[in-house]
Amino acid sequence: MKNIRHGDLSLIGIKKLPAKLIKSDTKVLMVGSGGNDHSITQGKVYLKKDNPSAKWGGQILVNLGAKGVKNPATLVNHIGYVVAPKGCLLLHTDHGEKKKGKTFREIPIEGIFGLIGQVEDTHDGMKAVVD
Amino acid sequence: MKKIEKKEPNEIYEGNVEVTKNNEKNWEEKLKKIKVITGYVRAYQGATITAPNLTEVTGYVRAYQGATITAPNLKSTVYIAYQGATITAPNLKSTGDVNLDTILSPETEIALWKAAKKNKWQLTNNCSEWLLSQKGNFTFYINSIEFDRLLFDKVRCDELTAQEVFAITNMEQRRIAYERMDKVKMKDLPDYKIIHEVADDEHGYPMKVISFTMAGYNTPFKFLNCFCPSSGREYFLETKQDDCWKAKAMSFGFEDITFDEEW
Repeated sequence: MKNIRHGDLSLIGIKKLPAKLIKSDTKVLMVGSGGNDHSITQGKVYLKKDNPSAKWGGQILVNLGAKGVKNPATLVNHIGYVVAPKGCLLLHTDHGEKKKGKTFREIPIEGIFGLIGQVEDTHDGMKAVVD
Repeated sequence: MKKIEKKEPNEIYEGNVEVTKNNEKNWEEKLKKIKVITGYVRAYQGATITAPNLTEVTGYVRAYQGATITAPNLKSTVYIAYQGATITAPNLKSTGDVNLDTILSPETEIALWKAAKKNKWQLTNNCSEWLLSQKGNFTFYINSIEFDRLLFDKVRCDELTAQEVFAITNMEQRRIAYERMDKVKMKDLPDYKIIHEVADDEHGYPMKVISFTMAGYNTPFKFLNCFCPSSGREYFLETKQDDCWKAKAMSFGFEDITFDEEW
């Protein structure tokens, strides 16, 4: 299990998925500005927007076996889950290893991860990073 | 598909034209008599295309950094040019959408403007003041980040105060605005101070938490100043924390977080 930071998205390794999640019909984990999305080449994505009745938050990830994280805040921008099989690549234009002749930078990932978008703690409250 | 005027077979090039520094001599010969190219034209970095008789490109014309395209009789195409590219086509009569990141010759810019006034334009801070002063269906970019016209002009001309830069809600726009801001302005931030500093964030970059006050707010504003480990871009993220590591962890919703990889 690994925790991976991918720009303004973090992938927190967990042991299992919550029960009864509905798979999202996408390979995009988080939409970025100017079409610079965080996406995967293969695997399953479960987004919060497609699972409004599920429970979300940092404590949920801790309960699902997340390591290397302490004291989750009440407000966490927990946006989904990804199940990445062997051979899956995490893609983005700016984050990852630059391979010659390829448009996207890439990182091999494998496992089950909770997805957390970065936030700013502003005078008006916690806000997802806008880019 | 646009209808192509009747031309001799040897005046039509069927397909795409991709010119590099290595093959530009071959293309110079091939394009001497060509009037119509049925595909797109790309001049890669530093490459030169001279097409004295070319009148129409049915695809787009794309000139990369330092490339030069000279097509004095070109009348019709879609137009894309990157920083430092030169396209000379003063007789342009019609074109599709325009994407410019460079200054063209005044004649070509005027011809282009007349030909595409009603189309969509993507312009950058590297375009000419004349073109930027026109009113059209424009979107504005600085380093690939989109801005509205008002903010675009203020950022590119460094007309924002440091307070205004930190008040920009879009993190990428804030990054660009800070990059272009004269850093002397940081001293104008009321009660500006660095409250925590880390020399190495484990990726070779420093981190800082800065704070300053603003009229009308009881508590100071704090920002984590950090760098992207992949791109090296510098960011400021608003935080309530006084410690760099805590500010970073809290930006992902935890008091403490250990990353095995960061990109």
